Parts: sequence; structure tokens; C-alpha cells
Amino acid sequence: MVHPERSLRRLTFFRMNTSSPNESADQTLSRFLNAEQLEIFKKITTDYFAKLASSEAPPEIGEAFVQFESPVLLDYTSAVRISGSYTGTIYVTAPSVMIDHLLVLHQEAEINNNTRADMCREFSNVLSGNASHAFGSQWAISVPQSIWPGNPSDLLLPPSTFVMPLVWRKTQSYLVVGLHAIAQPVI
Amino acid sequence: MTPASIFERNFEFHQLPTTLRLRSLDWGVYFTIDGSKTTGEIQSHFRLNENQGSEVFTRLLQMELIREKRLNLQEHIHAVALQADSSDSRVKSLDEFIRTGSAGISGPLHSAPPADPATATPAKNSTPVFTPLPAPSPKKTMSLLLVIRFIQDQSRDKTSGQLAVYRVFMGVDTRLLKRNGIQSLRFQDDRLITDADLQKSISENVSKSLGKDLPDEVFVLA
Repeated sequence: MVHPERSLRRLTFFRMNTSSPNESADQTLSRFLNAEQLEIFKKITTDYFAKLASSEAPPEIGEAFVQFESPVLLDYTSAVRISGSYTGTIYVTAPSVMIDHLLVLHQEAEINNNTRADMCREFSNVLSGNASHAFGSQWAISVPQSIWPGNPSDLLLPPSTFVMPLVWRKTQSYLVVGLHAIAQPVI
Repeated sequence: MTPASIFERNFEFHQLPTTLRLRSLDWGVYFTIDGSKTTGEIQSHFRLNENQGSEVFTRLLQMELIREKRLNLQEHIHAVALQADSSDSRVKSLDEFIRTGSAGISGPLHSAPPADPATATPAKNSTPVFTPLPAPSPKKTMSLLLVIRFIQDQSRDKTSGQLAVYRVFMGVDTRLLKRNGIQSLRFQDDRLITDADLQKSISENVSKSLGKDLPDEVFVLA
């Protein structure tokens, strides 16, 4: 099994330039990630968990923060690329114990690395659908990607990401948005 | 001794003889003397008039606990300006202050003394010409929390504000942030930034993202 740190090294980071110098602040603002769309995305993502375990407390989204350089990556990550005026990645990264909870709720008879990987892939599809629902009017959503220990990835992450902790069944996952304007690979 | 005189201590505290006995006021003044505060500032701090202050300083001098610091021209002018600020609210400028001969400076100043006395040319003209030297400027310190609040205040709700902060910091080179030990940014945490490059980068990205310049209020005294 490959440690998550090794998966992390496969990721490519980008330094980004911001908008063109002739562009006004209002123009760039209107084309940046929209707060209402982000709220919709957060809601339908937490609803997914709430529906799976309707008798339990729904997941809570914690206080967001901005992470620089070292992206938050746990054991299993489901991601989609988004592109529009900016490009980037939206992903959910979770510890294996949270994937195990999902497998149990899906009545999976066996819990091992293969079924966890399957669950991660399935969650990537869910994430892609949610992203299309929330951002599809302004952003192009790519096919989903899944990353887990031992699964190489060419996921592209900008050096600065917007991170929202997601707590469910006392386990913490992260909903992450990473955007950039003009990409220049540096690593 | 004038109100602009500056004294420094002859000994470190641990070097003082254990048998030393001083009045409470003398101890207070002694601990306040630090080689940068003027006599006038210290007298003002302890609410002493000039005679009372002079007595304390004379006692400390006689006991050889302190000595008067020799100042260069710039330090002297800075001390005079400090004294002027603390003692005379009517003084509006350093130039005016010096021309009026306050704080122990008597007579007009004709010119700033040359740096090298060997090359000095005596002033033949009595026309007052004086260009005050700039006082040392304090280092600007940026409060990250005040920057974040300024950005968020431009937004209509919490999520928009947080995304606006993210958009600003997307443009800041993460190597600069790393150089200052900033690996993540919580919206409620404060950090004081003295790195001029990082301050500049943040200011530029705020202007670029919001179309507004950062106000001076985001800078605090270090």
C-alpha cells in the first residue's frame, strides 16, 4: 500500500497569474466562483450523506480556511476538474474509515482496499453530478477522477486551495476547491 | 542638562551592588532610563517639574549610576522633536520648534554642521537655513486579520467574503507566504506581517481583486 504522502508527490502544482491587467475587478469577480453556487454544492454534498443515514445527524461543514502549497489529502480522494474563466479542481478527500462507513451503508458485504476503491470511484461520480448541478451553468465539469493509495494520478492542484472541513460520524473529511487563472507548471 | 538630554545606565541590573539603596522615585527613574528616552519624557512620565527631575538625575549622576549619552546631530534633533511633542502642544513643526529656540536651544541655527569638521567652511551668512533630518521611521507592520476583515467587509455575506479572501490570496506567491511561515489562512486568526515584499504582494492583489486599495488602518504599530 502506498502512503498518501506518496500519492501527493505525483500531483502537479501550478503557479498562477491572476486576471489580465486590462480586466476590471468587477469583471473578474463576476467570473469567479459564485458563493450561491458553492452553497448549493455544499448542500447537495452533505445531503448525500444525510440521505444515506437519515436517522442520524447530517454532516456539518466546519469553518473554511485557505491552504497554501501542501494540499489537504487523506486516504481516498474523489475529484473533478472544472474550467471556465478559471480552471481548477474540486475534490472530497476522506480517511478510509469514512469510506468504510459508506460501504456499510451501501450494504457491501466485504470491506477491503478493492471495495474501498470502488466506493471512492462511485463517490467521484456523485461528486461530478453534484458539481454539474451546482456549477454546470458557468463551468465545464470533467470526468471524475479517483485517488487512493497506490493509484497514480495526474490530478492538477493549484498552490492555494479553499478548504471546507466536513464532519460526519465523528470523522473529518474535506471538501476542497482549488482554482487558478493561467497555469504555469513549476514542479 | 536640558529636557532633550538622554542618559544611559552605567551598569546592567545584575551588576548593581546589593548594598545600593535608592529612593523609590530614583529607582523608578533609573529603570526608565534606557538610552533613548529624553529627560523631559521621563520627567513627564513621573509628573516631575524641571527642578524635581533635575534633582533625581543629579543624584543618579553623583552616584555614577548613569551618564549622559553623546548624541550625533540626527539623534539630537530627534530627541528635541520628541521633547517638543511631549511638552509643548503649541509647537507645530520641528522647523518652527528649532527656530523658536525651545527646549534649551538658544539663538538661531544657521546651518547644519558639516559631517567632517576638517572640511567645514564657517558660515558667513546669518540667514537661517535648516533642513531637518528625518526621524527614524517605524517599521510598518500589517495585520493579516485587518486585511481579511477589509476584504470581507466588501462582500455581502460570509461565504462571498471568504471566497473573496481566497481570490486575493490566490494571487499571492505562496513562496512569499512560506517565507513568512504562513502555510494556511484561517479567517479569524491574526498574524503580523513585517516582510515588505509580502505586504506589497497582498496590497497589489487586494487592489487587483477588489478595485480598492488597502486602507492605512490595516497597518499597526509594531
